[in-house]
Amino acid sequence: MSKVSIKGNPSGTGNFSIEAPNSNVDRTLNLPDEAGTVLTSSSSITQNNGPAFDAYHLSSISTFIGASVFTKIPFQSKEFDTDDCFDNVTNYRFTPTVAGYYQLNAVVAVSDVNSDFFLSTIYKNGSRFRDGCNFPTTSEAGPVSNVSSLVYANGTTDYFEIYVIIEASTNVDVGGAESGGYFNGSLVRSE
Amino acid sequence: MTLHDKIILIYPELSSYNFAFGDITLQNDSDGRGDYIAKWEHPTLPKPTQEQLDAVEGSSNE
Repeated sequence: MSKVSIKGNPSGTGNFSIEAPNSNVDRTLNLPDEAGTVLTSSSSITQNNGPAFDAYHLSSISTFIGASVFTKIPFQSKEFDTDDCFDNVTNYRFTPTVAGYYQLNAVVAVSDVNSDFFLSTIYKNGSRFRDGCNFPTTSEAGPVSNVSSLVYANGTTDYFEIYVIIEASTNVDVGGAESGGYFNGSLVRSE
Repeated sequence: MTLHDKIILIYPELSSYNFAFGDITLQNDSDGRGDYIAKWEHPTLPKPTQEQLDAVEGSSNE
């Protein structure tokens, strides 16, 4: 039979009591079969400190999207990147270093254009993975497309990029951070 | 002339939707290498050869 022992602390002077609630029901509290410290409702719990990033497209740099071509958006600047997981220089991709589930979001706006479709999409490991909303427009307002998805990353080789496609017959320019040109995300649950 | 323009000249029956929601993917990785055919899974039309694409551009310049 395993045993339960309660030990006092010879250095302290306080009295610790275990009190029963006002109840008429018999209950058993099972201790976990592992070493550690029991938490209470007042305990400080370490929060998720996995990778988080926010990158954006510079409005001062022209990125043209040709008609009917899935084009990667080069997010050249970062608002923050806690674990240096976003490459804003060469490949413009997020490669998280912690395995788990990530919430990714992106918004891409382009200059005024008439187009039957304008679609942003998350690419995973170089392939189309999750499409965002399609924004067809026949007005003079610049279309905006966003994509958001919960994705899994293995923490080593998986990477994510943002591509867009537009039907327009002429090239269009991508907007900047304020006008809709950003890509961000963070770990929501580790593996 | 863009890659898309060349393909449309070779296969006028293709629409923009074939490229956005169909079985053909043209892609540009913003790495300076330009547009390329990333996927061609059209059920009846064969993937155009480089010679066909070059010929289209040549004929348009005549």
